[in-house]
Amino acid sequence: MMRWHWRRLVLLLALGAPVALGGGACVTVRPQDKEFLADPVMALEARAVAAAAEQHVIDNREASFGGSGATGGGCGCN
Amino acid sequence: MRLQLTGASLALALALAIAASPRTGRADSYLDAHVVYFDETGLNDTLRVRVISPSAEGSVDLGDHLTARAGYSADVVSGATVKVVDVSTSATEFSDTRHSFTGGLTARRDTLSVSGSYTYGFENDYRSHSITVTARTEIAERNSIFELAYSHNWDGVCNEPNRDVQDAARRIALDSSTGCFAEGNASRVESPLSVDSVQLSYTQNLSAILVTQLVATAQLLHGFQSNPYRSVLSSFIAQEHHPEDRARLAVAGRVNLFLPPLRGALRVLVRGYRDTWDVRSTTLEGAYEQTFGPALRLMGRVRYYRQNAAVFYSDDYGLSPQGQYFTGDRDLAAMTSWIVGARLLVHLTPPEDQTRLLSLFHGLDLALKADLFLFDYSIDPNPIYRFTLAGTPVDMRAVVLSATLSMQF
Repeated sequence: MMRWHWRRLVLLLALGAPVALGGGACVTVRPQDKEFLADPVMALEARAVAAAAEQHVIDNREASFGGSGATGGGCGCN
Repeated sequence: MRLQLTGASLALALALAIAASPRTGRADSYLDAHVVYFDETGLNDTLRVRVISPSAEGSVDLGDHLTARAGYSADVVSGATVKVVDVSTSATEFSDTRHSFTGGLTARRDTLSVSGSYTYGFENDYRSHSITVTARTEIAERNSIFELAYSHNWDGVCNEPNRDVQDAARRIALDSSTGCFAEGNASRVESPLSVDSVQLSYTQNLSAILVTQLVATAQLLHGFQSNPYRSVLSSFIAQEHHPEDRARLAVAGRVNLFLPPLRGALRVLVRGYRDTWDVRSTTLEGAYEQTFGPALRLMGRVRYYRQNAAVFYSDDYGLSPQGQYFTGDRDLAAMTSWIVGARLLVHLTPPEDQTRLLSLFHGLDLALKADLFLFDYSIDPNPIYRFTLAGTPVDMRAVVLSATLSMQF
């Protein structure tokens, strides 16, 4: 059962990564078009310290680790 | 009681790097205060644990290209834990406090930034020194972000002097933290643990309303990874015995989609994880955050997590031994968990005719959050991989409440 979940996830990421990478290389959102990307609700880690504290709680209750806490999101307007 | 600083140092150091990064749109100088209350119950309160975790961190610019930052966090823990698995009467009371101090610098030039930080964490029976270095660049008109982070921990776990006991089945567990790290105390030793972590992330704006992120994290641990207090009942009673080496890999993908008519954002996270203890897990998370004007935001989220048991896990080593290793760690059993939560955020800015709020702040944020955790350890068809307490199923649940006050100067 778990193996099926794992393989499905790997397949999803394997298919999704080239789309994101290939597609991303061709996409340039102009600064004047970043109004929505600049909205605080679009930040991937807007409240980083709170997110770290939450991740600390979760890491103490699961065997897994990682895949979170990366920076980014928002508009990159600065 | 050991509170597992292993992952926390990287997470905290990355959090500080994130907070200092220009992309988050933060003011140049800020101070955040955060407190979490964790209340977990299970088996009719037999295994109740409460944790209060205050933390604070701040940042100040030192010129145009350099930012200094510092942080502090603590975990004040009290509750019950199982000292001998699988003996139902062995739940014992414990309490401890973990402290963690972090300081670091971020240097920026144009679209490139480099951060370095040091973290020292300690509790009665655990010490941790860690360094983290993060490099980040933004390209394609800041539509693509690459970030690479590396962290190394030098940790030490207080332990019984079992070094000369070759047979793991004859090692005894630590009875208390008394005398830990005291010079010349022959009744205690420090068992080392080294941790190397690398994280690579790629963030891409795919359109004016869509941002994606891929994150890969790898970690190598070498050293003592057991709970020194916990024993396992088999044909013997001995301190739990985990492998000394563990390699871990996680890959995650995230998507944020802005919905202009609603002024809200939809978030999806998919994560896969695998390690050399043969733990495999899947995480799926969905969230939606709605803005109500410029000052109010409300978020709701659901998170699902599923993992299988570690290859050496057994709920009854007397009946089903799993090789040379044995553990009483329920985190290594097969399990699923659900998290359902909500967050309210109030964002205050100065009136139009003023530059500062209360003559002091460029902005103030107050966030209140509540999460309900539900754990299910009965998912595996093989009962050996289910965590029980002397055969009694354990239903754990937790409530996590948090409040954050962010002050921008």
